[in-house]
Amino acid sequence: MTFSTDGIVFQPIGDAVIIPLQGSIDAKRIETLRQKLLDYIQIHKTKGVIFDFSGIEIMDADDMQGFKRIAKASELMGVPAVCTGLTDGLVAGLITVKADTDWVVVAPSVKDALRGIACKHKRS
Amino acid sequence: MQTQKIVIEKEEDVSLAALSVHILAEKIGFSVIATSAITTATSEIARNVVKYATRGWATLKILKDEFRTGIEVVILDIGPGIADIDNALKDRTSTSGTLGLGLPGTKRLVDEFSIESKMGEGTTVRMVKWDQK
Repeated sequence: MTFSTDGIVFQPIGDAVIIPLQGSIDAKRIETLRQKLLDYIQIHKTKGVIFDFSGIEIMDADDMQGFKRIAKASELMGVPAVCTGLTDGLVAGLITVKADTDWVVVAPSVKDALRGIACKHKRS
Repeated sequence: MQTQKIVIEKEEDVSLAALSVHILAEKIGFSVIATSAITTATSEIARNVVKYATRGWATLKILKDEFRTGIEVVILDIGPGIADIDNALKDRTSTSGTLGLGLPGTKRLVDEFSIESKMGEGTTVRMVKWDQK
C-alpha cells in the first residue's frame, strides 16, 4: 500500500521501500525526506531503500550532498540505500561539476535494486 | 529576443531559476545533455547567490546565429564579491579543498563563461550554452 506524506511517496515492495522522486529538488525537500524516511524505517522495519530518480531532471552538487546525508542516515539504521533512474543528462552534469558521487550505490533498474537488497540480507 | 528575469533571494529561487532554464532549453529543442548542462550550471551559480550574497538576479535569453541556437544566462548579485577570481576558478582535488563556489565545474559545463567581481559590491557570471544543430 502506497504511503504519502508532505508530497513524498513511499511504495513498499516486500521488505524494501521505493521512493519515486518527481519534479525539482531543494534543501527543504531533502531535509523533509530525510526526516520522513527515518521515521518510516523505524515504524515499518524496512530492510532497503530505493531512490528512483527517473522523475528528476534538475540536480546539482549540493542536492547530491543532501542525498548523501540521507543515504548515510539510512545506513546508520542498518538499511542500505540504492539509487536508480539517474538520467544521462543528470549524470553528465554531476560528473562535470565533480559532485561527490563516491557514496552512490546504483542499480540499473528497480528490479535489480530489489534483487541486490534481497541478496544482501540473505548473506547477513 | 525576449529576456526572462528571475529574482534570487532564497533556496526556492534557485530551483525556479534552474527550472526556468530547463523549460527554455527544452522549448528551443536543446539535446538532453545540453539541457542538463546549462540547467546544472545555472543551479550551481544561483546557489552561490543564496549562500554568499544578499540577493541577485538571473537573466535568461535565447541567442541565435547562422548555425546554432543558444541560451545565455547572466547571474548577478549584490554581495561581498570574490577576492581572488583566478584562485576560485582553479580545479582542486577534494583533499586540498575548494572554495565551494563550484566555478571550475560550472565553467566546464558551458561553452562560454565569464565572471566579474568587485569587492564589497557583487559578482556577475555570464554563461552561454550552444546546441549544435
